[in-house]
Amino acid sequence: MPRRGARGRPSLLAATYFEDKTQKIEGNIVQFMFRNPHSFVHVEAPDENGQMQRWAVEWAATAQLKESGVDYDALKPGDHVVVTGNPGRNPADHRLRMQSVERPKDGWKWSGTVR
Amino acid sequence: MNETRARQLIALAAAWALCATATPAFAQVDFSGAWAARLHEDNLERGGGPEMNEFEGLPINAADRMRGDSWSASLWTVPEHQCIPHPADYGPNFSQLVMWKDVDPVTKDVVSWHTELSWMNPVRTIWMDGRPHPPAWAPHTWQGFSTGKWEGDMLTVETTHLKPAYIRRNGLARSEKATVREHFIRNGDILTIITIVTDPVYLTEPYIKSRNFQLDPGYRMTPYPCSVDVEIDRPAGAIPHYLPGTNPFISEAAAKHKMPLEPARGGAETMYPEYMERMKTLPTATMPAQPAASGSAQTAPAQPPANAGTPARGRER
Repeated sequence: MPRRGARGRPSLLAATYFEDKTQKIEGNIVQFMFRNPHSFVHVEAPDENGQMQRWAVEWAATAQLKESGVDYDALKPGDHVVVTGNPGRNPADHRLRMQSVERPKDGWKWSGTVR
Repeated sequence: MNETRARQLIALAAAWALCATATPAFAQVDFSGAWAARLHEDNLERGGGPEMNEFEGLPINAADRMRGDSWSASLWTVPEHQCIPHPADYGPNFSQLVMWKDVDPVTKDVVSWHTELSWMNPVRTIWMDGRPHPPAWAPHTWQGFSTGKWEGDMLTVETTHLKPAYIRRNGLARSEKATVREHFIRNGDILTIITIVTDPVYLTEPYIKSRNFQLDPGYRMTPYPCSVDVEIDRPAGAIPHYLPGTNPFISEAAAKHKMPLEPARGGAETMYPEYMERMKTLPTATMPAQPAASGSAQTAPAQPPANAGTPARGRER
């Protein structure tokens, strides 16, 4: 029986992020929240001024991530990752919309579109 | 209030429903089953949502415009906001829908209809047994209090007691004083829901929209567990917002779509075809100079109003 999963919080993409801009951060994962309405990856990484920040990278809902092969244990605190995403409109949030994440240690990577 | 236009739209939809339906005349239509949302109308209310300060086509007043201008999308990351369900008048915009009925075991009358949406699984009851709406001071909820009656093959539903919410996800508010009238119309495997929102606080005319669903017998609703977490690390009680005159994105959407700023500011006149003639006389909006540099929403802790005491019954937070 088809179970078209409930999608995540219908994202306010254009209202939340600069969709025409891309930002890359590199650092260590502090927390991976595999959850609804949207998953988040918190990464400790420097900003453009070299100041260490806790970045909140918004990902997809659980059902959507599972469909794309990402489960709750895909990322762990301490993992060193390179993340690319659209920067948030509110700079104080230090926030990105996930476009890609790569873990150089073992070559694991994900890229896609979060809706 | 342009009641003539509202009546014309409703009459047209009703006539279409009555003429095209395959259901025997005067029979109560059965809405039971699963319905797949058809996302071919009003893209601003679907998937990716609207852009900031994009209010065109909505009959808002100045107070609602200010609500929209002061809104920041970061508000959705505040713990109290992360898991709220969409209200009854907004949820059907994009969610899958399941409907079922309760039947009196003796009389076989339909006592109530129920709707459930996939996003957060909110369940609504539409009472069909003629009971009155509760008094104004009764609790307000996300789904409100709904009663229904048949008008031919069309189910007409009146909803009151809704929590204050929104008519568009970019901050345009809908008050707890709003009432909602819906018309459920089935044509074969297609279900059309016409929603009419009347709000004396934020709207100058009724806001009318229609949503279509297709019968989807194989669909099975999935649970929607939602957890509240710290999505963005900020001080407790901080509410992202823009104070009047500080939102740097007001003209961005209009400029991006090469349209004048005035229609993007909304208002009842922007709903009607004749407004297109006025648009031709207006200059195209210009992109804000440096939105990123000055675009930081403020996150001062929310201050209770001077008269704050026991929260008013039915008020949202």
